[in-house]
Amino acid sequence: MKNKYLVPIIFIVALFIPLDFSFYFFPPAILYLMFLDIHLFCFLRRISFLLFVIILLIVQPMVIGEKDFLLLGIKFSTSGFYNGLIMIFRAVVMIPAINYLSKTAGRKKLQSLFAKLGLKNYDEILDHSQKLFPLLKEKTKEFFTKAERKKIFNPIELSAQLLAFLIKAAHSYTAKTKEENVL
Amino acid sequence: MKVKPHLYDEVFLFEIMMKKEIDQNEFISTALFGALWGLIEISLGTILHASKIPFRGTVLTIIAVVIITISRSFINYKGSIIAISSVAATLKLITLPGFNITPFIAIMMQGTIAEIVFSFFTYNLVSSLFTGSLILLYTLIHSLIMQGIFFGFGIYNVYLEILNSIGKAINYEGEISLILIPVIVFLYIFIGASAGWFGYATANRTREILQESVV
Repeated sequence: MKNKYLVPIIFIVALFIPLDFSFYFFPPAILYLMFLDIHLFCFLRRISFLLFVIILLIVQPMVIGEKDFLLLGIKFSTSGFYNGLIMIFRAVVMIPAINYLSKTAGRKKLQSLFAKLGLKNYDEILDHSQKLFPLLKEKTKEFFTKAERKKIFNPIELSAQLLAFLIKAAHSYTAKTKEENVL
Repeated sequence: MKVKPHLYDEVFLFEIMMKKEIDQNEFISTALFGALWGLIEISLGTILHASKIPFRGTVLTIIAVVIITISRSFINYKGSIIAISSVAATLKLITLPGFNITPFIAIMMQGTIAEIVFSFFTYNLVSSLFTGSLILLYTLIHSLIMQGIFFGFGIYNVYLEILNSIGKAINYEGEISLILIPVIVFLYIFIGASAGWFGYATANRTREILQESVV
């Protein structure tokens, strides 16, 4: 079966699988995703994910369920630990699956999606936005390096001055490029 | 003799309300605000991500609220905020490598919420405050929904139990989560309203500056 079907199926199954069957499903699903692309599991090294691991595997057994296990003088619940382990396994399947699916979302697919949603001129607006990108960077730098701007301390005034500067720049840039195209 | 359409003429009003094509000014402004939002999401988002500071999403959402409220002052056609958010979300999705589908969903949802509010109410200070509050509230809910999808909805129970255990540890009788959750929600609403006010005030001042420069 093609990956484009199998990965969404893994995602949906991981979302709805009952707790009793999850231990049989998650390990093969993780193995499959690992063989598909090992880089999908880079999130395992992230601090935010490790924080969830600590909360679910250490803190959760201390506060949820019947305390039936003693470690280093602290009472833990094995049911809480088991529950946390399932939650971690679930995330280890769900996150790479979504990551893989988001990689396949190209500009063409988004374009057709937004066209279906009835968003007109989406492609033209996106093209023009990408053209404005370097201009905005350049003009913002120019704005903040000008001496008189440094005297403005009111955040509303500063934002308004910057915005007015960018609006004028964007309009003159568009007029200029249009003129060049005509010529 | 050419008859000028009267403001109360039903057909004329219908034509204004159901604008099918956007004009050149609206096109440029939509592209500008979309690019600006996308640029901030990519540049500041990358800096915040690298700095590992907490509440990165909230910081980006506050800026998004400011951009949304300002943009509505300049481009007032139906679907303008959805157009801006779709540009910003696409730029973020295609520019940065890795796991970007959650910010994409978040940006699109922020745009949709703002579009719904501004479709029902006219653009003014109150609707800006309301939009800001709703968007910030959504940000709070968004992270909880995503965590529920990834780790399972049992994670909410874990959070409640942890909060209540902290309450018991500081000798609080009862469930401290009943106090803490409304406080957090109120804080998000307040911050969102403040961002909406800032955006509204900035939009008005920008208009004044642009008018002064024209004169």
